[in-house]
Amino acid sequence: MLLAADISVYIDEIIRSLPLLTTEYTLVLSIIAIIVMDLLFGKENPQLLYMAATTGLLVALIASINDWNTVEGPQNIFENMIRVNRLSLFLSILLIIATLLTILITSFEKPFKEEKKGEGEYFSLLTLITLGSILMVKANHFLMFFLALETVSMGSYLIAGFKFDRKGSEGAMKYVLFGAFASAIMLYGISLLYGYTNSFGFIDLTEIAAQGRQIDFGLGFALIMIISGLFFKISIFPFHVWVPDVYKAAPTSITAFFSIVPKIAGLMMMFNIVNRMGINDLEISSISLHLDEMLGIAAIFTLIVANFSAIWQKSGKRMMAYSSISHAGFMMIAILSLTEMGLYALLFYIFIYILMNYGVFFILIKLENATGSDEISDFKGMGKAAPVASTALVILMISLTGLPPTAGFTAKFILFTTVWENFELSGQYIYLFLLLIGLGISVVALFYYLRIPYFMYFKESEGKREPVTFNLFELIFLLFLTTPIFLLFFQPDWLFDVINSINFASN
Amino acid sequence: MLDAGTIAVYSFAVITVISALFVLITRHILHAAFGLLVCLLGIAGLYLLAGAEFLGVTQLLVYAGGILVLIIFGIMLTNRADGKTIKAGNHRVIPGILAGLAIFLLFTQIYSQSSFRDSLRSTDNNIPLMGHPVESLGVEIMTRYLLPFELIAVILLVILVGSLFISKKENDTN
Repeated sequence: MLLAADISVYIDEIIRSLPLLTTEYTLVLSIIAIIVMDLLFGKENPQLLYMAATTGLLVALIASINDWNTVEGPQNIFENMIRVNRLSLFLSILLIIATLLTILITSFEKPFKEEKKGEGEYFSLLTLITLGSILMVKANHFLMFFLALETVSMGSYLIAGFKFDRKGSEGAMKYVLFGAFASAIMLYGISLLYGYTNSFGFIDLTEIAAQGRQIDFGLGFALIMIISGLFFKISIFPFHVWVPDVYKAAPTSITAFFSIVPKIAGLMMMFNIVNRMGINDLEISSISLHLDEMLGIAAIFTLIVANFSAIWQKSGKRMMAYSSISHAGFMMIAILSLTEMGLYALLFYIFIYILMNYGVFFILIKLENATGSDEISDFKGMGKAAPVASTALVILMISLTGLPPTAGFTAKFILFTTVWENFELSGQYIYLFLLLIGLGISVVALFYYLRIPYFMYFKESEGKREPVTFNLFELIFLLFLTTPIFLLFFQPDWLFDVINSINFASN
Repeated sequence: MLDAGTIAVYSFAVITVISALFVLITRHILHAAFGLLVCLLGIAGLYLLAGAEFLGVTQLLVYAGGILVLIIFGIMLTNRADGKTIKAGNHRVIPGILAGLAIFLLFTQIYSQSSFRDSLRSTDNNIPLMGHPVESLGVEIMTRYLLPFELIAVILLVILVGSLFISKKENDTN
């Protein structure tokens, strides 16, 4: 029997922890509100559900910003299961904004306008995935980590099939099978890790390793299994094969969501694990494998495979799927450079990536609505028919490639500077390789990113194209996404002032 | 000389492995389901012998009692709809055996290493028992593991709603 005193200690801990999770409660309440509203008046006016989901997320956003203004140092709550710090709060804000953008571009997409079904389920799943992602970036315990990750995965499996056709169900099924496999591998790794460390926390492994870095084969294998599961979620080579099929099969706005919210949460999870457990310093002694080199090689192969596959894609969505794999590779490079500068480079990159990707997917939705397909060759002649969309797409594609005068260049420039500094500091050749491959691959990227604008401007369409028009609201949305891409090239300090207030040492 | 506990562990292990192999080899899908039942019962026995009574009973109730009955019902219903029994086949037998052997060797390598056995034997790995295990489990869930518990509740709710929606018939307008 537990003593009453023990229980009161626990209850004090819960009471202390409760005020720091207001964002999460808001999201849970909004999920329940959406389900109830869907039952009551979902059939007659689905607009109410849009409003409910948006309101819930806006309140959660305000709660996160409020926490960001008040929380100073890192706070460990719920018996160290959750760590709230400025980094995780910054990412919660970004994730909520990204979900709000998803709801916006969903309202432009055809299937949801025409089918008039599934809005309630769609928005509650979307909110659930956001909740899971926020808990992922805040987790400090493998139980919480796994549950949050599964929240995101389960929601994603369901939401991937929302196109209601054969292709959509096939893609979702593929996703479920691959995902269950990856989760099983990761869970096995976590159980092995528990066997070695006797703890589910993200404890510093360099303290229990021999000479500060040598670990034996079993523990190393457990870590590799956990990392493999995460690689699957953030689509790093060799666990990226599911990405193009699922992205192609899902509705375009959901593809945009998949390429941002779960991916950013997974990347930050990776950063937290690598940072808190000191994985970069470890070496599996029996096969003399340095774990940082393993991560670096995975990033290099991700970049090479993703970019060379992207060249041959005929579908715009599949190309963007490979593009998102390639960007995950770039962000992996930033995770490897575990310095203050590396973290800032990663956060800057994530911010720009959100803007660019939502912009491109928004224009893809407009083009899809106009042409009825997402094949690149069907976009012929759209340069004349949709001048605004084409101009914006050129800007966004240049930014995705990483050329000036766009913020995509700034993001890559900061990233490569960090890698070079790391090479000079540590003298490890893996950083030099990462730098060279990253630079080389950007040239390949230029080739496929500019293929869509090339088809739009320089190929004439056979028939007459109906002009694609934007209403005022859509124009404002597009400006909102593209203007910062220029502004942050000339004034990156505006973003850096915010990012710099995150203290690297306290993570 | 072997004591009764060791004999019981090994016999449960043998039952589990043989029934799992039977699931793999048999071509009749209903036989495979029954093989799975025996396999799950064997695992429940292993849990009970390892001192995890709660886990063992949960395994019996949820897997052997619930999920497996669901599987058998599913097979019976789909069988009747088609009029003929479904045959399960094995594909890529040789690569499968090779991959299985490789994983087996990998795990023997891991588990035979001294550091893992030491960590299993170390005394601080034994969770101190205060009162009945089910009682302390309940207290822990409502105190230390409150947040994961509540998160699971939210996940189950939304996933249930979502899967009902996905599996709904197309022409069901009401």
